[in-house]
Amino acid sequence: MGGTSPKVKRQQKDFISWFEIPAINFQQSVNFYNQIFGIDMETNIDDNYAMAFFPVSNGIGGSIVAGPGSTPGDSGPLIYLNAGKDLNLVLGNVENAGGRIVMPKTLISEESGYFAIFIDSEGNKLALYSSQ
Amino acid sequence: MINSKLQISNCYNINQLRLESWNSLKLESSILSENSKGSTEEKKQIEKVKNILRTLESIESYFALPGIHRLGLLFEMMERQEYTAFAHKISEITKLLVSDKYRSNPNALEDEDLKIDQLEDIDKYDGKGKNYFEVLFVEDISLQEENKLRSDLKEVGTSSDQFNYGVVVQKTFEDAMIALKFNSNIQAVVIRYAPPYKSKKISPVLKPFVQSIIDLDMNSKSEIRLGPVLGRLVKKFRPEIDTYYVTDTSLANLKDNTLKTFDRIFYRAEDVQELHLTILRGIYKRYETPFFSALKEYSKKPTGVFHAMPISRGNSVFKSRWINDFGNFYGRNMFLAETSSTKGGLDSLLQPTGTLKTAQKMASKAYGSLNTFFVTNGTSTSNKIVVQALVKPGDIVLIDRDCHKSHHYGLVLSGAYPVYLDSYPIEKYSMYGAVPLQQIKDKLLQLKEAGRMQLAKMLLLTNCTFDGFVYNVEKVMEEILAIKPDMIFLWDEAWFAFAGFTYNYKQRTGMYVADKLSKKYKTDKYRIEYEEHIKGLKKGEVSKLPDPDKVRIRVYSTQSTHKTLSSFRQGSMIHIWDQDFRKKTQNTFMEAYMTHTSTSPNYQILASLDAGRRQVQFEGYELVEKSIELAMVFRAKVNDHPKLKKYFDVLTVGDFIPKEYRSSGLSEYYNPKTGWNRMDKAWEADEFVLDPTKITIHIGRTGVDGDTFKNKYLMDQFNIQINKTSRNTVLLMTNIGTTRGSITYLTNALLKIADELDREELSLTTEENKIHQAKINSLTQDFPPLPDFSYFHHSFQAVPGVPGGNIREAFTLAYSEENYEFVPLSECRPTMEGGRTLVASSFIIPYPPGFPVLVPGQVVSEEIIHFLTVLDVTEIHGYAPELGLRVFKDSVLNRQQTVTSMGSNKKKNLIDKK
Repeated sequence: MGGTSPKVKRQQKDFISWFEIPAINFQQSVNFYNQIFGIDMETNIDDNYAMAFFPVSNGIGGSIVAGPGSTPGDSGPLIYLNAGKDLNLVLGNVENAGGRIVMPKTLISEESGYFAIFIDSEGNKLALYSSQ
Repeated sequence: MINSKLQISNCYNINQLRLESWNSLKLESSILSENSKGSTEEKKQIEKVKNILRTLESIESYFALPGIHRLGLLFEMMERQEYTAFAHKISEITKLLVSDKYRSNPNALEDEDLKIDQLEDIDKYDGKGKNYFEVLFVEDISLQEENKLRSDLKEVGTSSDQFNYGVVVQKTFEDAMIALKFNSNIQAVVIRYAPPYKSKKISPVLKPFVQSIIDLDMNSKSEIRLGPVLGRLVKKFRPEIDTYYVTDTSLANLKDNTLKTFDRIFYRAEDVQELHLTILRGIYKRYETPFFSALKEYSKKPTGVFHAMPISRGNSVFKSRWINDFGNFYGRNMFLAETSSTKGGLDSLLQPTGTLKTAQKMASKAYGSLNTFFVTNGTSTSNKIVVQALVKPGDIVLIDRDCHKSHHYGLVLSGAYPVYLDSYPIEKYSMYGAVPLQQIKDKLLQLKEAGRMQLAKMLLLTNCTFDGFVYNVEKVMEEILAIKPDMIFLWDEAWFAFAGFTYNYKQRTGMYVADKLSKKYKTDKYRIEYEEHIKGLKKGEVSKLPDPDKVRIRVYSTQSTHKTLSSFRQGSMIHIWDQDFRKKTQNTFMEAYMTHTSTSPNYQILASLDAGRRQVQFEGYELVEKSIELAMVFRAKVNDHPKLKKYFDVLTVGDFIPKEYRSSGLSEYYNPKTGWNRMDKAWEADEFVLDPTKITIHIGRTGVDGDTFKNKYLMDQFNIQINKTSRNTVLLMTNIGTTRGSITYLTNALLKIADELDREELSLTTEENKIHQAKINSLTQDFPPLPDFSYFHHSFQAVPGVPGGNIREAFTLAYSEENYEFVPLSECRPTMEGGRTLVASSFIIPYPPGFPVLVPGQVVSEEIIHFLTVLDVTEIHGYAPELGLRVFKDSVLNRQQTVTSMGSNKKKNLIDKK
């Protein structure tokens, strides 16, 4: 394959359908995201798994999942969470909620906006994004 | 009474008083034999001698030998005015007692014709002769009945009996307790029927030594209950002793705990034969050393070795032309007992089913655990086994930072996050104390607030510390369990294996307290106490008592048997009192044990652990008490001697333990003015106590630093080996092998050093004297500060601001050379002032104090740099002065940062469109 491009170039609207943030201490994780975003996540708990859902109107959603096979980590894929207009409003809550800021609000470029990186209460590394 | 007051304050315990009284009787009786008949001097002397005899009468009634009967004979000789024979007899008895020789031949005292010079022959029987012990009978009987009992027992004994014993009869409860305290060779107690309570024998001479027994005060108990109560007390204070009960109460009416208290219950006092056999059987059971005996047997068998180990049977050694001196040095037995076999009576340490299994079970009983494991690679390994067995990566361990380095490495291996606890510093002597309970609780509550308490699996503390600081184990466990009822405790008792064998010490050991608390929390009385305590709590106040429905007792102790008891070097044991062991940890424990245990364990070490166990079960109490006595005598000697006082201070409780941790108010064990202070109260209640057998001497006034004093003075001149020093102190220890002779030698050496220092001082020129004084000032007045643990760099912290850090990640990041660089010590401060955070990439462990001032991932603080700058020791592990501190590069500290790819693609970013 090396170097040869596929014959049909496919494009699609979104490359993300859904995201999941693993947790060990489920409640602690839910509290963390509730606190930094000022949201109230809906939960669904059964014998094996506990899940909490990020409230979205019609965009791409995701959840917190605790249970077998769902292991937090600070390496691997990096998800950029939408932090509204100014990500500092969210980032400012991270440490109080039990997370750690790895990179403060950083300019990407004038047209691209800003990002920041944090580690959540469970040890997951995530990024925040805002246009301003 | 001759100088009775003076005598008492001079004597630390009854043994000292006993021997001193015999010695003074020897002296006074020989003076008496030389007095002219009928003179006034003679009359005075007779009174003097009689007084000493009376003192001795009250002491000797608690011993079978020489015994009250022989004292009576001495009184009679006096009456008959046979002063020469009297003096001679006393001299013989004294010699026997002082040398302890009567134990190898108790008949020496019986035999009227035996002369002192024949005692030399007795020596030859040592080890081959029968072991001698004493049996305490508690019953209110007449002297005639007592004599009949003795002769009955003698009659049923046969020459083939393995052991010899003498009989001590006490008529009251209190006297029985006194006998047990004084007479360390009592190995069995027979309580017959119901003894009365109050002793009639407590004379003013005895009183200071038996105060703790007078304080027991069980007078209100009905006489009929006193037998079982006494049985329980024997088990509490001397659990190794066999207890037998002779009663009329029918089995149906005997309480369960009475049945459990005694090893056997008899119904007919006359059944002397059965009693005799039972007593001997009980002793034999303790005497057994399954593994050691198996190894001895094995070494006698002729075997052909077609396996590993050419050294086995000495084959490759004794036939060698070049190393047979090696064989001759150790002797044949050492090689005959070297084998890799796990059969033929021997056993596998990794999966014991025979003699090692039994040996470990016997050790478990002796040390008061539920499970005991032998370890042949020292307590460093024991510590790693326990930590690996109980915590997994990401779990939190609360741990005293000045613990042994094996723990820090154990945490690296296990991947647990340490939350370091700081011992309070004693800057004046450049050493650390212990961790105050309040600090442990604060850290735990901090974790609770951060939602991380469930991860805190273990509290790990060193008890006692190298310097002799001892925790209040019961209080620590109780108050921590009140916050987290399933906390696991690992008590590093590397220096405290001997502590289980005398009561004051035992009540501050992991195993004893685990058992005690487990029983306590099951009682209804505790439940009521707990409920009332909870009701009485103010809002926000933290309970000090654990919830009886939730509490789990899970305690582990690691002990260097070889440090304080008889065992070859590296002989160590893990003692476990974990009610969830089978359910929760047995599997992981066995895996951890397999991880760290050699598949070629050293059999000589294992045999020595087995034999050492036998020793403590017979003479642990005696030897430990003796080592404390010798330490006390030495402490007093240095305090009292004007020449020693000039240069040396024996540091004591008040120097080491701040007042707020000493509710008893005890500040020293010995005071030249008031004599001995009893340690009982302090050991019962104080937050910290000082183990008197660890003797720290302040040598600041000599102008010589600790390290030089240890090497140039004690070792080079007197061959006295000590281990630990600080800038201005040296640490000496007594142990169960310490003799009076070695204490005298040490005292003598210190006196000679003092003389030498005097001479040196006189010969100094003015200029030299200035330098000398400056050195003294530096050692006595300038105290480098002792830094606390700073904190883990935030990239290693689990949660910011909450204690605990990923020491393993930091440790392994330093595997790669690209990740670290060196900063010379002198440049550290300017670099830090320039805004750079320096983070250690290795352990930095100066000797002394011997624990890390920096661990991987720890932020370097100003205080630590200052400490390292003024530190005047040459041995610092993990630090090369020519290179400097090994710190992480900034790129490592920022390793979680990254760039974003957003906006870097040629096409317009998806987000831009929004």
